[in-house]
Amino acid sequence: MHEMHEADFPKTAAQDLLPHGGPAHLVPEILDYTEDQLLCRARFPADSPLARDGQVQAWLCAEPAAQAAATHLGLVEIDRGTTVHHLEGFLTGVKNVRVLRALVPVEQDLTIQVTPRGGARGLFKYDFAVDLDGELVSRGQISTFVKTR
Amino acid sequence: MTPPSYQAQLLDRDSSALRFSLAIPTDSPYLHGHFPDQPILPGVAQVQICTELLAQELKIPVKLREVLNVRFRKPVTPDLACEMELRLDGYELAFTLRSEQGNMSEGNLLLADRLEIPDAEVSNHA
Repeated sequence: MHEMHEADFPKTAAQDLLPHGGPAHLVPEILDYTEDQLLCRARFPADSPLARDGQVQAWLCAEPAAQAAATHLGLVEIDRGTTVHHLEGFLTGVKNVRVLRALVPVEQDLTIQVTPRGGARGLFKYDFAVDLDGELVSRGQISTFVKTR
Repeated sequence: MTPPSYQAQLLDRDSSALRFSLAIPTDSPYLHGHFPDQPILPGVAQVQICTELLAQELKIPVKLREVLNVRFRKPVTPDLACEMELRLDGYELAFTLRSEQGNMSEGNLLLADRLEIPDAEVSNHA
């Protein structure tokens, strides 16, 4: 992944932008944001319903990637002057997700980069890449529907 | 005690396909926080259930090499009666999740290992 520079934005904005609660909220910290991409930290909590025996299949990183994409959409809306709080939306598709490592442990920091690839009428496409300690664990494409005003 | 994430029962099978009834209980851990005001089954959980049902029936771990293409068409809500059909062809696993509302999701997955659905009689005696 590219080295990015820290920008002027609230690092915890994802908590306000996403409607997810409890163990479903997987994106605790934004590392950097531009209109062209978002870099964030993510982790599966120990009580994640997606975890089995303390590990999560790497392709399931599509879920925090989708949350990262929604966060990016929210930040873009804020940049445009829109008040955004708990964006409504859901994952509509997953495509070409390569699994480069079988499992990722819970309670470990993952770094997720999402890059917008266009969209309209609330449907948006993103490329994503997830790494753990510098090792790429999965990458692919997601489509998400988000209600924007 | 943690409640089950889902309730599934095998309805029928042949050499290339398995069909299950599927429901997500209102207290399913999958729904915790997703979302607090409007619980729906996460899309990725539908794919996880698909691989777990196959693993359960084949009695071996099922690992994915690639998620080729999955479409989540309609939100799956708690207690919605669904059927999940799995079609296995070597390394390729296709799934369709249906309800009375129509197709809820479908997808094609590439497995890390070539798998076969054993004959039911053989499976019962394995």
